[in-house]
Amino acid sequence: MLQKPMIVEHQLPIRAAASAIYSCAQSILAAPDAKRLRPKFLSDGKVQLGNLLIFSEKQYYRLIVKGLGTPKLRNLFLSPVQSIRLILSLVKVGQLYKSRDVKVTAPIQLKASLEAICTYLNLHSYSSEIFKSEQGYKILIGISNTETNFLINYEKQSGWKVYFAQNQKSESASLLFKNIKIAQDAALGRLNSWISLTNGNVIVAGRIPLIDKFGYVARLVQKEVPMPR
Amino acid sequence: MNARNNSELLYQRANLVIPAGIYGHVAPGAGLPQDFPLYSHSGNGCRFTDVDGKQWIDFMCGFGAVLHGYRNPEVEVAVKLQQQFGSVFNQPTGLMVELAEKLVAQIDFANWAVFAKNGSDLTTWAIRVAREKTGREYVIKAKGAYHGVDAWCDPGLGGRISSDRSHVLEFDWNDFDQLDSHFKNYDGQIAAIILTPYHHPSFGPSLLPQENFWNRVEMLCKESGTALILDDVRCGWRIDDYGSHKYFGFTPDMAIHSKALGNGYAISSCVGVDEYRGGACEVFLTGSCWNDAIAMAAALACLRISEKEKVASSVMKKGKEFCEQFEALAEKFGVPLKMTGVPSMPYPWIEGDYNLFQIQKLCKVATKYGLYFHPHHNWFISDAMKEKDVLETLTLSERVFEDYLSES
Repeated sequence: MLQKPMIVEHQLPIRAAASAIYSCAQSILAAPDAKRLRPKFLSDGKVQLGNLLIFSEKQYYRLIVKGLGTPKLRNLFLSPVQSIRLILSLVKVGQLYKSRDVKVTAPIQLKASLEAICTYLNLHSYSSEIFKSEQGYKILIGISNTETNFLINYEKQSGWKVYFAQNQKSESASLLFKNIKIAQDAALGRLNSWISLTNGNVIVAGRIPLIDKFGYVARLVQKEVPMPR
Repeated sequence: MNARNNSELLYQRANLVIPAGIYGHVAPGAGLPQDFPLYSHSGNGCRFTDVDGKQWIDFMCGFGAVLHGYRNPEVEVAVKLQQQFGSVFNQPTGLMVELAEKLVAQIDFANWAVFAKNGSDLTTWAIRVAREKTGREYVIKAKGAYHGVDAWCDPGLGGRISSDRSHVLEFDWNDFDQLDSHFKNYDGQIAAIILTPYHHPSFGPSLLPQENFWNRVEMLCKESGTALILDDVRCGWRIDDYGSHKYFGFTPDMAIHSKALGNGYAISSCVGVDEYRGGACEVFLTGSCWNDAIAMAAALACLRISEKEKVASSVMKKGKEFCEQFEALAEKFGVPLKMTGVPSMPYPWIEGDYNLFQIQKLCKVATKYGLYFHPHHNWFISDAMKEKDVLETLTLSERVFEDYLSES
């Protein structure tokens, strides 16, 4: 059974953003570098990256949104090379959000945004409550005419999780973006989900109550979770 | 030109000035956003025309608000007559008394009636009346049942606080033991049970009450002094002309009606037994236009039509004929489709289609032929539907099933 950590709800946006960044890192960096960006959430609300850099919530927020966040200086001086390597990894992730190569960046950004949503599904009290009755159902999120397809489902041990979807048709509901640009707009919180349903930029099918709940949580994440600009 | 050009232009304008453009049960996402029209223009009988000029054979009847057909002549005459005098005044008109008398005369257990505009206005009010009478807090409803837009019951997700539903208990329809266990666990604390005549949730097949279900519920309420509230908003005058409780053989303490009561003119009613009259006097009830004489004139006309033409039997019969032929057509094409619920409000269910992909596909194909079949909500049979309309629907449905299978 998924054990929920004791967290304060106002720390969730930062947690969700950190899991999104880690997801990006896994997609674009070599495994050891990506691993360094795996966040640890300390009991005092600080975010630790790779046993090295510790950011206050405020500085981590600045790091995400402005690309400038000052870590606690002690470790920076203790392991300067490692720290700089880690900072460079962070910069690379930041650059992903500035890149114009939509084909490359959009699927990565989409997965990252789904990771942020899953953080909410697992840890945000209202989101996890409304999704309790959806355990056992799977939602497919993909981009039409591409192989970019993700599946979100619930597992007892790990809670709600994003996977790359295989070919088998096991989803209970599907949400398909018309093209890669629309998917990127969604991942970056620039898509009006109401209009998109009607103009065909987003096509949904299957278990609509699941889609409704997913949409509600996705909009909440869009509103609360800081994104690189 | 896009087939939905006007619909889409209106929707673009709407999004600038209306949150989400279109909201609630008619929001595009609740149906088939790419295929259903977004806006209607006019209607006549069992057909309506959208703003792009496409005519549809309608199986939703304004989501049940229209029983006697769009622009029913008798209703429209009554409305026009009252329009000469006005609609809302400082005081109610005599029509309010006349309408209350008519309902009390028609509905066997009713000793009084009050009026509002929507079902939701009065489902919530009736619960407060039950609380006033019993001095208790808890309310029981069936899981997945729709009773309106108030915080204790709405199907949406936004704007909730934890206390909204802290006194609402749920049970699975037909599971009497589960219901009974609530009474044991909350002994002496349950003010009311609110139920629809049968279970007609969205996104799932309708379930009729099992044998003795209603008798046992009624007995449980009587023994515990709990109010039995019938939400007859959707079914009213579609199953029985004198209240759906008659069809299923039980007696509620209060019943709420709307939809077919006004045939599209906004009105709802709550009728009740004498025992709850005192509570009804104490719980404040009003709304800006709730004394609307035009809607009351429409309601009186609707009640006259239902009684005179035995409309409930008529739509049940038409629905039965349609459902049997539609199921036979599905069987001919090897589609395991059953029409669930009562024939006047059938919900199509394809065996094994738990996630609704198949029914969505079928209804999507139907839109090409101008058939307004909803994939997620029970359908409604209009009394304006004539044999030729049913035949035309079935002829078109044959092509729908052909296309549906060829796309599989």
